[in-house]
Amino acid sequence: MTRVSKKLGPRMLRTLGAVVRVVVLSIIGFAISIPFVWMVGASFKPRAEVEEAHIVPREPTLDNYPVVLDRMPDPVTGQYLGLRFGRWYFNSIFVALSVTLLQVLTSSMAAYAFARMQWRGRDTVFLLYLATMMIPGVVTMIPNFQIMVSLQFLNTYRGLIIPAAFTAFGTFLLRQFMLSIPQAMDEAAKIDGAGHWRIFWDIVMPQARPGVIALAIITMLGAYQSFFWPLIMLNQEQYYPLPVGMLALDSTYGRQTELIMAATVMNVVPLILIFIIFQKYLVKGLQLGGVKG
Amino acid sequence: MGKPVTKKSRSREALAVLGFLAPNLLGFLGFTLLPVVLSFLMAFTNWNLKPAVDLEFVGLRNFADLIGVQAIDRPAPLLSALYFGSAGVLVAGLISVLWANMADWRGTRVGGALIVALGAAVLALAVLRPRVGEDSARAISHGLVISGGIGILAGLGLATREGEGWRPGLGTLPALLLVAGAFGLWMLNGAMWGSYEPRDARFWQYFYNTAYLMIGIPFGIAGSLALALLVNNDLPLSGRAPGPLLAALLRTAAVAICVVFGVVGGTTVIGKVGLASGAGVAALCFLAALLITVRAPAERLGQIAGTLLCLLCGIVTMALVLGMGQPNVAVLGGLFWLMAAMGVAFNIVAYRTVYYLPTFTAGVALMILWKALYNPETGPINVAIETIGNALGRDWQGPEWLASVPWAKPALIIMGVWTGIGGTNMLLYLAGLSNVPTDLMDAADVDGASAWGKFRHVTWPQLGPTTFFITIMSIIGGLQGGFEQARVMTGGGPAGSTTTLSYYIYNKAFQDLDLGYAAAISWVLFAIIFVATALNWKFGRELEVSP
Amino acid sequence: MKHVFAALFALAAALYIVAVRTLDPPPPEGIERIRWATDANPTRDRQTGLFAELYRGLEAVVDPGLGGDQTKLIVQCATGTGPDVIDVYDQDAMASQVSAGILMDLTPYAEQYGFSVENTYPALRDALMVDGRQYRFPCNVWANCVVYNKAVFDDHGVPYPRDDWTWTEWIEVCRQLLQSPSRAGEKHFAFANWNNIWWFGELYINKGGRYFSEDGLTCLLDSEEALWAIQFYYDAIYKHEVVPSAAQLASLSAQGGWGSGWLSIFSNGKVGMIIIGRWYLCQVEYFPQMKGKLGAVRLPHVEGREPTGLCDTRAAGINAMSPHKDAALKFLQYLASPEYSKLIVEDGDSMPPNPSVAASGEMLVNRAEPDPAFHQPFVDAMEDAQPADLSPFIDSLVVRRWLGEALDRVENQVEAPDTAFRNLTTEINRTIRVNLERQPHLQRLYEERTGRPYTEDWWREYQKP
Repeated sequence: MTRVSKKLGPRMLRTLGAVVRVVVLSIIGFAISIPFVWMVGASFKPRAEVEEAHIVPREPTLDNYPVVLDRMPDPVTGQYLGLRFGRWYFNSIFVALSVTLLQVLTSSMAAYAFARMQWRGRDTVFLLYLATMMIPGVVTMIPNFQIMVSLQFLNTYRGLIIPAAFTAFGTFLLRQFMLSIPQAMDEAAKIDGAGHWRIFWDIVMPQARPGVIALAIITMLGAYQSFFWPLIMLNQEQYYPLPVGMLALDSTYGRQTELIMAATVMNVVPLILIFIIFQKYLVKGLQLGGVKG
Repeated sequence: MGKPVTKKSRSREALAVLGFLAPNLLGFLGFTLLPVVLSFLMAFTNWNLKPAVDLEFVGLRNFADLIGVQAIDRPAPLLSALYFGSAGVLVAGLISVLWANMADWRGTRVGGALIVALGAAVLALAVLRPRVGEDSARAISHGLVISGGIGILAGLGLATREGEGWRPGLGTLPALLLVAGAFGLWMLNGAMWGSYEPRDARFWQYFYNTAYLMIGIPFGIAGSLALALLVNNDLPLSGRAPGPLLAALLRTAAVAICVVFGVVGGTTVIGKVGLASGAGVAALCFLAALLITVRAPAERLGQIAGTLLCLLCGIVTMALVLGMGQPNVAVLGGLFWLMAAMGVAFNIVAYRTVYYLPTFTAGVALMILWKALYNPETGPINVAIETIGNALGRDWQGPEWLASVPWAKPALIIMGVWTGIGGTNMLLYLAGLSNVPTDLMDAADVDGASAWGKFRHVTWPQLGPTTFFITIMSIIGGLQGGFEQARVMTGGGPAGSTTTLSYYIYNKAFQDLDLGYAAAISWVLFAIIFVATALNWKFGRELEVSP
Repeated sequence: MKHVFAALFALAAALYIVAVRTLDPPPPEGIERIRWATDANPTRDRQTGLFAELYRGLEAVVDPGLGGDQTKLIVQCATGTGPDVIDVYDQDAMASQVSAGILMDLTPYAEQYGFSVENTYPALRDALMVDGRQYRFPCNVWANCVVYNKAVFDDHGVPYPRDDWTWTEWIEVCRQLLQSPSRAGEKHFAFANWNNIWWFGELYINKGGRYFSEDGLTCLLDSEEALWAIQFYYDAIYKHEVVPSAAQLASLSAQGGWGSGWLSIFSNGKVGMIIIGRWYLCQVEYFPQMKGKLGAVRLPHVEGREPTGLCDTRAAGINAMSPHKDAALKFLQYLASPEYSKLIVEDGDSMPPNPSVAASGEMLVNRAEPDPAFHQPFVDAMEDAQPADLSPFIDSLVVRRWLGEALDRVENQVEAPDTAFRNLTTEINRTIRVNLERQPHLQRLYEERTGRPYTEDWWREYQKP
């Protein structure tokens, strides 16, 4: 190997290495993205072909998108589907944004309390947070729902946003990050007479920003795709987020797969854009925080 | 040091704590803790939503129904006591083995050797046992094989510890406990299950399913690590689109149109025209790149490489569509062509995004997708298997995946690994990797370490905390998982083979309306998760690197 | 950092204002809205539209969260926020919901509003009532027949089946379909077993079996009739090989989900026969290529026995805690009306609740299927059909699930047919015993039904250990 490298020179070797890497990356990329590409292809297929293996439609149709957006009647039955896609899209984005904001804010403050402040029972309470993450959510659903009803959260936006904003995961993640931020600057600030509030905003948070953004992306993704809770909490169409609205395409009389694919493609595009934009903060950022236990 | 701590400052501190903690804590108490506590109480009642049945406190009856046994004919208490005693001894042995390993007791090497022998015996027993046709017996055999294998590996790990002699000591005791427990179980097995039967046989089957589905976790984690290593560093050939932005946009648009028409049009006139135009555009750009000078030589190299790639992709795609008549594979070629035209084929961000795509589409759509993919006759997976087989001149036929009892769970495992490999775990590893101090890596370089050596001695230990965090979250997720797959894709699977404990809880709660029992199952699941996490926590401390 | 948060907060507040401002206006004064929990079938629009026309001031809004999954229903009803009118898809679900106190007792209102059991098919009596009280009224009614694809039969040169055929002849027809070559060179299946519980049920009822004894204390799924039925089921798959096994089943599975997969396989013309109700005609709207190709014939009967079969209904009940009881009662009255029944006939959504509108094949002709010969078998089937029987001593949904699991195991050859059903019966009987032991109200029911006091050893006389 060294003889080859001596012959080719370091620059050629690096280029060769890069080419090999690109080839490997691409092959893996194709393998992983095949299902997604298939989904995009399926969104352009007519109903008869939609479940088959080929990616390229034999008879491509642009009809699925306008049908989902209620601009065109369903070609087979000739009826408008009456889907309020625009409204549901708006609901999804609004709820996801609000949940993320609330979650990040409260979790970072609580994480600060766990990581930077000393108080009695701190570790016990934190263990309690951890323990609740281990309960399967199915069985807490009815007590949870009863609480919602008592608070009159049904069929409201606050019902979708507020309960979802309080999970132990965010606090856990940010606490880890804050633990690994060195305390030197804190001490200096304390000597200068800064209170906790200032330390939090001006010293700890900027350094924890990567972790905060990581949490923001994960929460946003989760809130955007959440299905079960909105399904149970909502009876009125106008509040539905997109995954619940799409249930209309999936009744016991038939699942209209090509429309579901079209709706999902539209659903996913903003997520991809957000990921591309924030991706550099995510990776470079996490490095500063680290996940030391 | 700071100001002296006075009573006033302490109460101010307490107020500050409250201020920071309160919003989150209130929400946590109300929306998380309270329902959890209620469900805990529910597990001890017979609540089942029926007004005719009075709500009463039944103590441990739900739990007894779940994991207990009942006499088929006449009870034999001595037998059951001995059997459960043996099981208890076995469990004690397991826990104390891990403890002995961490606490570095003496005599663990001898213990390790004993465990190897035990594992080999179990393996032999499982393989040589005559098979009975029932699924549960099959499950036990598989379980025995796996346990035997783990026993051998673990025993070898213990027996090859450094710095110890071959003398028995306190550390041998756990191994003796294991052997005693296993022996007791083996001798009493026949008699026990002749007189008793489990009260809820389904629980054990679904527990087996849940554990089985977790097999994919180490592969997923390893895969994510490998991907993270691949996409960690930028590619050396400049990430920006070669040439001015406008040119890149025009080129992208042109190639996009060409790809769509070309691939979709196929061998029709439109298709041929489309492809030819695309190749023409790419050729033009190559020419332009050669002629127009760009300032920095590195960028120029990148520019040439980019357009060359563009040209190459165009040719390949054309060949696939026109020459081989394979429009589906050509789609992928066309995508790469597009990426090259945009100038992102050498940008590592593109690859990271592509790997993260399945995580975006998570949910019902992904399940529908995979169900169609796993279709035994028309699904791409089996079609691909047959095509590859034909190319090799053999007659290969894919298994029936989700429709067959032995292949349903492996199908779900494959799906899980495939979609999860580029997901959040990969991101976490990326972060961990950028955390590795460069001076350590440089020192290793100076010492002349190979790539594998660097990985094993520098990178892997530094990734310890990340791995351990990911492992814990994966275990929690794995034990609680399988719910969506069962609900949307398989409905619990052929003959109950893809029903996991989560799905069982769901059925019990919302179909049988037996909420007290469902709560009991949840809390047993919690206990299992808690033990697994605690063990991992203690065990995993070893992986943490002290700074 | 603070600024970022503040800006995002402002954005969220702005979006909130937009969201609230663009909410739908509340219903105009004088319109009372009730929620109807059913699935998102496109025909619902016409059904609710007609309701609004006939009953000024009332509107029914479809709440599609159901779709076969009753989680949303249970959670909401458990906390008193459930829908007003609830579609109960079958008897088992009804028994389960009644015991959970979800459905309101309709008996006091039935005559007054005209939706009593007298207003619909007499065969459905037991399917609408629990313990002598009525809890639901049909939205549509079904009894199964064999629907066959004439084009497939013609392609293989097999004569169409006749109304009075037996199960043995059915196997023969399947075999002919599979063995005669296709003129068009295509591959077809003879029979689509899309709902194994129904197929088994038809076989079993036809043979004269009962699921439970009269008093409901013993499960009879290990009786001779049951063992015959499951053996026939198994043989059709593995001995005569005329029915695809579960694995072959999946290979044709097009659209996933309950039922619709097989329906679209049949609708795509790949299967010869299917056992289904008249509601299949709803699918013809989605698959217009099936128009004119469909035929229907009575289910085969067991030699030496009168033909009979299962019937059941997708029926609407009223939420016991609904705040709109009067409006809901009027909705049920609407269901009993001839106008609604005519709409059902038109849409092909199975058989209407009102028998007077469906007395013959001619009356059932609709735009999807103009041939009265197609509809006549369904009319005849309703005359001979009977609902399955339930036991109050064990939860019916549990029984159905365990039955499905047993059939699954038999189909996948995990257990032999008779072993599977003997184990199933043992398990059901044991659960009945445990239920009686733990629930005093069931003990009282026992005493009522048997006239004897409840003792711990009661089962020795009724069940095998």
